[in-house]
Amino acid sequence: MYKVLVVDDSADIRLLLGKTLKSAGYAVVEATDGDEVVSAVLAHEPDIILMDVSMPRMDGFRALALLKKDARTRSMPVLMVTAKGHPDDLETARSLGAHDYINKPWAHGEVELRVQWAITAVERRRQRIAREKEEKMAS
Amino acid sequence: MTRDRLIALAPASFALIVMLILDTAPLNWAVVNQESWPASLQSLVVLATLGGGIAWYAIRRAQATARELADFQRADEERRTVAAIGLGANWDLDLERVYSRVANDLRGLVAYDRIAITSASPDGKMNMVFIHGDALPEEHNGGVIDLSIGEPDGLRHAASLGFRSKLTVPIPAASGALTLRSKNLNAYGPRELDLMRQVVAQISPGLANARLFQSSQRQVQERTALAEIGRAATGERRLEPLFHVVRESLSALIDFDHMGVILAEPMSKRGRVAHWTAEGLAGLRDGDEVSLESKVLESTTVTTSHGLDPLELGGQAELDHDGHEARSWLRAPLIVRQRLIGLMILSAPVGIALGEEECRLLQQVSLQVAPAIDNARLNADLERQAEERRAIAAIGLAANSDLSLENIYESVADELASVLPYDRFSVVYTAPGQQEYEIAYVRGVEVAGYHVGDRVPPRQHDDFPIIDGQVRMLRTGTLEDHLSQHIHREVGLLSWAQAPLGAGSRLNGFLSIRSRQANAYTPHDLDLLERVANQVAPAIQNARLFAEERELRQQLDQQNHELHEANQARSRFLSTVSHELKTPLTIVSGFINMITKNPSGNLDPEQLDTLHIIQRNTARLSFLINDILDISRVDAGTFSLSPDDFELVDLFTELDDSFQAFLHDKRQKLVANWPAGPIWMHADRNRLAQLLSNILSNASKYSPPGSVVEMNATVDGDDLQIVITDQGMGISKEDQEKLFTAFYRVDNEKTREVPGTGLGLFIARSITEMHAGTIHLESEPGTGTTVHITLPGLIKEPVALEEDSETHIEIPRSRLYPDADMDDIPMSAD
Repeated sequence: MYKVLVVDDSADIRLLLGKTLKSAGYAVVEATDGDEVVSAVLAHEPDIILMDVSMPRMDGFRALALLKKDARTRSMPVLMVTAKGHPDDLETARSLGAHDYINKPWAHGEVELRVQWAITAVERRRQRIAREKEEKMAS
Repeated sequence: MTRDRLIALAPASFALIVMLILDTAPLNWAVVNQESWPASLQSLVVLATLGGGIAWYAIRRAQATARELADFQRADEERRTVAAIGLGANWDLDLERVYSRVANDLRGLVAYDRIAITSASPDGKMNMVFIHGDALPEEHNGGVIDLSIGEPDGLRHAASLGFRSKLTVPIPAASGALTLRSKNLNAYGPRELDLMRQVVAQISPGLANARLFQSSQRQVQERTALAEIGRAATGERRLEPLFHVVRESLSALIDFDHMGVILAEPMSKRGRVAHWTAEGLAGLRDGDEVSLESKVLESTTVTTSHGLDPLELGGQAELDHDGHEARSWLRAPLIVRQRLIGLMILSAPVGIALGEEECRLLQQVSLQVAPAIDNARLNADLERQAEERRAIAAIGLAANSDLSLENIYESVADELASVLPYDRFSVVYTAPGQQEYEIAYVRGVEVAGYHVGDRVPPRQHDDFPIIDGQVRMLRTGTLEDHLSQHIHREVGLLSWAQAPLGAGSRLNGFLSIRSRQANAYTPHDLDLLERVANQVAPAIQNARLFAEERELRQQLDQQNHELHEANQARSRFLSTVSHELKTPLTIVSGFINMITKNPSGNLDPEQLDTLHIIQRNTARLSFLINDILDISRVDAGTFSLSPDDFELVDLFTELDDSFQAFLHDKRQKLVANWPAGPIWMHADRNRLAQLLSNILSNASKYSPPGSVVEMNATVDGDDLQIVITDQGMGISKEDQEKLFTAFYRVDNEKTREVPGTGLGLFIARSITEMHAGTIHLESEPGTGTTVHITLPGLIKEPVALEEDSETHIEIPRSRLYPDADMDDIPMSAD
């Protein structure tokens, strides 16, 4: 079972995303602000992160930058979940290394789909790395 | 001699008388009969007496002879001296040297303590030509002597000076006299008189020659000087050098220490001092204005006077306040073509009288220089006029090519200085409706209370009173009764001229110049100042208007800026509100979507219908919020596109699919036609979808149930054209124009039933224009509406089709990496 870390200051959003993802078959862990992300990742070792942008203590972009700076969390796929949908915001997310971007309010089924895509990508990547390791070992 | 002989004969006569007493014929006896003793004694006595007498006579005679010899020798000596004097006088042509030699040589002949030689000049005045010995301080060669006191050498109070004897000999050759004075009593007798006559007789021919020579020499000098003046007069076109030559040339002929020229102002009884060597003499200086109403000027020939008032305008002081003493003056009228153009004035040092000879000379000179002075003055006037015209042109040019008031004032001050010298220049201004003057500019002497920026209330008798808020010009001039005059007089500004700055008929202020010199400005200067003021007034007016306009423009800019700020604030507000609305909307729609799926299966159909209604309205709310966000972006100028390559057929298929479902509720039908693919476009796919959705949903909303909406897309070269037609209520002409503005909705009974914000078409137009396209509509009320959209240059060359193009929409795509496979998305920023 893949594990998703949901980072949002709104408890209702956390509940909604939690229910949506659980019903789609994922394990869900939560963090309530950007400054908790790194420790939550280290504590729960999720497969993927859904993160809000507007948060009171540390916004999602800064938290994303922290994650990408830390070697231990660098390869973690991060999906930004936000009401901000301006092309500039998308560009910011992309330049900081976000994997995908979900606009609030999202379409019915969009979250599950995008999370699934991301998980697929993560899985394929893991497999590729494993294969490369095997090939290396074999050679 | 006769007396001596008589005295010598006296003893002989006595002896004869004694003999006659002793013997009647003693002499006869004594001679004839020598034997008789008594007769012999008698004869002896007679003989002795006779012999003594003869001896005495002989001695006396010898003495007389010796005396006569000495006398003869002295007379001879004197004759020789006199002859030497005469010789000396005759070979020398320098009178001064002749007189000096005579005085020296005379010392051996006749004793004197003072010698004075006088000579009459052609005008009849007796001049002292030589003086030596005890002279009075005021006596000098060339001075006129006063014969009326009865002294031939004009010496007053001779006795009190210690002179007791005097000898005067006339010198006919010099039309004068030689006067010797001695401090000894009875110093001079017939001999001295005789000697002096001889001396005069001896030197006369020489004197006559020397005088002749001197007068001819003087004539040469005169002619040279006059020629020099004449040459300068014809060749010199400037006044000052002309005066210089006249002065230098005349100084060889006339003993003077001051020269002045006063030129008459045209058409007036006033003159101006054009040249005045001794500054302050007679209270005059260069540039002073003087009255020419004196009787002196009625004479057409040179006149003389004595005193301190050369123009004889009144005032007979012997000493002026500068300490000048009364002196001799010559005045020569300068007349050209029977017109008096001025006056030339000479003055001699105190003690020297200028006489007829000088008059004669000056008369000639004045006749010679008058036309030259007139020409030079005309020339100077022409030059001045040219300079004035140049200055006025320069002022006009500078003033009209600059819109900065300060620069205009500066250039006027610069240029004015070259034609109207001033010690203070100021510009005084008043704004319409203002009740005070404002000092706008000052150059030169500062005056308390009249600095730049100071406001000065107009006075009752002011020349420029403010009436009804406007300055009115009453007069211009060098006025004595100007009330602010005393303030300026205190700092030494004596003359004053000003001219109105009347832009058009409205007077806005005036230019003012002041000078330390009294009567510095003439009526001509006032004219000039007025011309300058007229030249510069419109420019000042323009500059002021420009300054006002600039201020206005700054205000407008400020307002514009504030409006822009307000607009930005509104956009920020809309953006923030929209974002804040989105989160609760996400929660609501998320949970409703979850429940609507009815995972527990315990909801009845009615409950599910209700949930669908909520679901639909949540979706609408979401669209509205997005529209508002878009509006705020357009307002803030941050509305931008994310262009991308995509396949057009996909877009239309997607739209067709979603709108068929949307129209289904109103039993409407969408007939969509698009060219067979693949057609590739480079544009913002989502925005194009939004644009077409907005038009299509409008077409549906304002059309009756069961009607048909048509969408026809055609590709023409690089251009994509889309025409969407409905069978709706139509739009009137006036509404058509406004429909594409934000928040505008056609307001009538029918439209009020249809929900809407008036943002759809505005956003549609914004998206079209962002793609450099055009959008317009054709409609008649009641006959439906046709919307034409043209998007130029967006069609691309077909891209090689990917294998799974048919399931394109199914391919997992990140929103951040639309072109990349999921596998290729980098997991980290580096």
